[in-house]
Order: sequence, then structure tokens, then C-alpha cells
Amino acid sequence: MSDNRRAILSLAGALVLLHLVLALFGLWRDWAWPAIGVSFILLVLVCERLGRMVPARWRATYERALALGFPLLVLILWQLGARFGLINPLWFPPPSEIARALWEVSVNYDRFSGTSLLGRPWLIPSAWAEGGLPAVGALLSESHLLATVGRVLAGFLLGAIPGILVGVVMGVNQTVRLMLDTSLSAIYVLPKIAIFPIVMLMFANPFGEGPKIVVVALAVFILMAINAMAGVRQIDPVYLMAGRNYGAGPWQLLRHVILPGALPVIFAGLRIALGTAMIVIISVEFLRAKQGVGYMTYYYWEVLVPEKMYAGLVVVMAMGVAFTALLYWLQRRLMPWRR
Amino acid sequence: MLTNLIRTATLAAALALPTLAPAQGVAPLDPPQSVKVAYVPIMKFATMYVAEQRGIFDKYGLDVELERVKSGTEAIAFLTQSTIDVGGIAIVTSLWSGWNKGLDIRVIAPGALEPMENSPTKLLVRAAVADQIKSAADLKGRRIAVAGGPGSGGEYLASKGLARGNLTIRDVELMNVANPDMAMAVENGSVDAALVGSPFADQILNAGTGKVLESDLTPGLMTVAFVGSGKFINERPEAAERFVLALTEAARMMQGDDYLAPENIEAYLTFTNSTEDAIRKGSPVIYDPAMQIPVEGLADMEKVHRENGRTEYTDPLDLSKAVDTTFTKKAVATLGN
Repeated sequence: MSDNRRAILSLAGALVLLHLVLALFGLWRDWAWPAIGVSFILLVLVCERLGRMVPARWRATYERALALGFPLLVLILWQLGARFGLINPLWFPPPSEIARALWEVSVNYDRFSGTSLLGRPWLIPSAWAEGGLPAVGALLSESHLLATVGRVLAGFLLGAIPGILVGVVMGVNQTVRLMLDTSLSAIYVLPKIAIFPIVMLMFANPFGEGPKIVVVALAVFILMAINAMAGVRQIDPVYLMAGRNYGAGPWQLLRHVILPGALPVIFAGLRIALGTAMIVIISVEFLRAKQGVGYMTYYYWEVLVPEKMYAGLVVVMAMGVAFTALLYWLQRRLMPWRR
Repeated sequence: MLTNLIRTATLAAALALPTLAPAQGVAPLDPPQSVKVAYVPIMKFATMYVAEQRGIFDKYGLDVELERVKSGTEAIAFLTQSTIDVGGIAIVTSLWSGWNKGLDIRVIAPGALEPMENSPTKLLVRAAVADQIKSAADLKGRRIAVAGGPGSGGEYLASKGLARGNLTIRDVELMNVANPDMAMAVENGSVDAALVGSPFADQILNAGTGKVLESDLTPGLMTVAFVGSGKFINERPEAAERFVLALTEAARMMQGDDYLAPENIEAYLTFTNSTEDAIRKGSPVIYDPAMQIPVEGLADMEKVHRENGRTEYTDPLDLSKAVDTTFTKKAVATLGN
């Protein structure tokens, strides 16, 4: 038997033994959390040894199994923890309960607030038949998800495009950089939710979509300006000199040297900005909206239906994953040399 | 001179007696017991602030720790986890949901009650549209600012105000606006009406930007309460008894002019974010010396929230297990009527 195999058996045995001993002496419930902590360490050691034994051709499968298997294990433990009273299922509802709540909020329409999570897309054909595009629009306008997605995308585009432009200008022009850098750094650290009331004051309809989109755009703008500037400034001057030596004008330099050179940092910034946009809009919706995933999540907390609050959090996480995947796709399209 | 001094000292001792001596038949807990309380820092829990600040909890052997929380739901979460013993919380939908889920938490003492008249909470209408909105019925389709989101106490009061014009919250657009932002929302025309509490209502009225449309929406209603965890009530009834007794004593030290006694004001300022000016100018609420828990009002709040679609259940809730009057009755029996 190889060393790895022996180590795996010993570690797995220790893991089982630990729980058996605790259970035999009636100590498992009191010591469950430390035991789970130790079990995690033992599991990591087992997987380490297992990884050494995996042949190269199975390596990718092994890594995928590890990446998906561990969250799955956590969900199973969570389910069992709630089932056996290790955690309070009211405040930490088991995954099965959250899945049921997610299904409920997805398929049900709240006639009191006139909202639903998805906007009941299965009714689109009948709405189209009855009233055409306006009826479909009215149907989808009830969606919490679309309200949040719309705000994030609008704010993201409104902030990212000018942010990148300003950042690039700051990167290439010292005067602009000196004028704006300090101010942007100062505004960057402001919690955007704190300035939301001020943004509201700037609009004729303070409760409309304008302030919500603008506060997201502001957060994205500042982040992107700082990132784009850093992206431009990290370009090796040799490339700029080479471009000039080959007779490139300012626009050609921008198009063929500066933008491609800064793109990796800009995309890293876009990813962070997207996360920030999500955080900002969810916080704003928590307190200042009547629709949106953030509103829905906080609403179910306030009326004490925790499983539906968790369902809202799951939707937020799914949105984060979807947006990030979209950005990766865009990155591959715009930066083919990085594939 | 000496006689005067003795008389003054005797009078002072007599006045101080209610604070220093425990009520008859109720010995202080020895050793003192810790009672953890989470509360929303508003004036409606002032009996607790006075009991703490003026040493009434101490004299009954209670070591009370007061922790601020943002909302009642937070306090309910801590109560059910037994990380706190008592919650000073507003009566909101989360309580109904909690009781419907079978949570063992019970109202053990009332917070402040709405006054029978001149309530500090008013439904104001924007002065510029006051000639168009003369009654609650005229609010149909209008935008109304309310502090507190769906299922809150604010929404309940708005429902009661609208009911006077045979309207429901579905007939208007309710906006969740924080109390300090109300004056601005009314002034810049973002809303046509606002349900505002003290001192913000006075602020709007004094500025002339709003007029009273409806007031005294729920006379005598209990909008906040002291809620004990089942564990606290069942396992340490002696501490719960003394806690409510101390609140009752404090309520009796806040009646009439005593409400603004310097020691009481110090207590209010220590435990809330209010200012002395606001406290002096604001219309006082009722701190019932008889500590009665108005269950009928609770039932009405539950009904309104349920009918507004804020609860997951649809049948009326049995509130008999939600209220425990044992301790208030004992306190009144001990202190006398």
C-alpha cells in the first residue's frame, strides 16, 4: 500500500473515530462545531493526498469535483444540521426549505404589491395575444429581478463608459490627472448609500428610478476612472515610444496601444465595479425601493419569513455569477490574445 | 432654621423612598441577576430608561444591560435564540409571523400608549394641495410618506387614517421615508401627505408647509411593547417579575409634571437620540401607571396587517398565548392602584 493510500485511510479513520467517540460519550451535540472544524482540516488533508494520486488525465475532473463537491457537502451538512437541531431552522432554514421558498417566490404573484420575482414570463404569450407589446411590458414590469437588473445595467453603462474615458485621459494627461485624482480618491471611499438622500434631492421625482441608477453610476464611474487611469499608466513606455516612432498619431496610439494595453486592468476594474454596482443597488433597494430583489429580500426579513429572505439572497448571488460570466464572455471577445 | 432643615431632609427622604426602597414583599435578588434587553431607542420605552437611570432595576437586584437594535425583527431573532431576555420592540408584522410560527415570546409589559387626544402622530397634507385634499377620501391615488416599510407600525397607522375615508393602502402610493426626511419630502412636493410623529410633525406645521388632515388615529393603542423570551419567563420568573415591577414604578414616576423631571430627562437623553428641546416640545404619550396591556388594539393591528397581505397566513391569530399579564398584574398588586 502506498504512503498516500495509507495516509488517506488513517485520516478518514480519524475523522470517523472523532465523531463516533463524541457520539458514544454523548458529547457530539455540545462539541459539534469544533468537531466540524477539525473534520474540515482532516478532509483537506485527505483531498490533498487524494490529489497526489490522481492521474494527469483525470486531474480536471478531480478539480471540478472538488470545486462542486465541497459546496454540495456544506449544503448537505446544513440540511442535516437543521434536521437534527444543530442550528435553528427558523433563522437558518435548511437548503430544501430555501429551494421551496425560491420556487414559491418564482411562481407566485403577490396581488397586494402587484409584484413577482420573475414577472411571470410563462404568461407572455397570452399577454401578447391580448394586448401586444404594452401588455408584455406591463407584465414584466412587475418583476423584482428585472427591476434590479435594469438598474444595475443602466447604472453600470452610465458609469463605466464615461469612467473609462475619463480614466484614460487621466492616464495620458498629467494636468487632468492632478486635477481629478485627489477628488476621485476622496469620493471613492464615501459609502454610496450615505449620499443617496442627497442624490434623491437632485431629482424632481426622488422616489423614481433616476436616483437609484445615478448612485450606481457614480460608484461605477469612480472605480472605472481610477482603474482605467492605473491601466494606462502601467503600460510600458517602450510601447508608446515604438508607436510614435512608427508614426502613430494620438488616435492611433489610443486605438492600437493605449486601449489594448490598459484593457486587462480595465476588465479587472469592470469586474470589481460590477460587484460594487450590485452591492450599491441591493443596499438602496433594501431601504428606498418598492421593487427589486433587494427590496424583496429585506421585506421578507422585516415580516419574518426568513426562508424567502434567503431565497432573495440566492437570487442576488445568482445575479452576481451571471453578470461575472457575461463580463468574462465580453473579455474573451474584446481580448482574443488573452484566451 | 434647624427645624426647616429637618423638614426638608424628611421630605427629600420621603420623595426618594420610592426609588431607594424595594416594594413591600419583593426582596431584591441576591446575587443580582443579569437581564439583557435589546431595544429600539425611541421615547416609547422611556419607562425602561427611567428605571435604569434612576436605579430602580438595581434596587430589585437586576443588572440590566441595554443594547440598541435597528428593528423589532432583529430583537425577535435575538429573543428566540435566547441571547437576550427582553426586547423593547414595535408591534409589527414580524411579531405576528413569529407567533404564527410558534415562537415562544410573550408581551410582558406595555410600552407607551398613544394618547387619547392630541396624539403626536398626525396625518399631514401638503399645504399647497390642502384645498384639494380636505378629507382622507381625497387621498385616493396620492403619494403618502410613511416612516417604516411594509408591515410596520407606520403602515398600520396610515391604514387607520385612510380607513376614515374608506380607503386602503392599495388606493394610495405609500413611500417609506425616514422621519427626519419627512419635512423635506413635504416641502419639495415629493409627497402629498405624510404620516409623521413628534417632533417632525411640529417641524412641518411650524414651517407652514403642511396642515393636519387627520389626527388621533388610534387613541390608547399600544404600538410598542416589552416582549420576553419564553426561556426568560419560564426559567427566571422572579427576574421577569422584578423587571416589570421596576417598569411600573418608573411609569408612576413619569406622571404629570414629573414627566419632565430633570432625572427623567437625563434618562431619556441617555438612551435615545432625542434632544431635550424635542422632548420638552413634543406631545407626551401615555405611560400607563396601571400597566394594562390593551389586547383589543393588538388584535386590530394583527387584523389590519393580515388584511393588508403582510402575513403569510390568512386566518386570525390566537393572541391568548402572545400576551402574559401575570407580571403586570403582580406589579400593580404590589404597588397598589
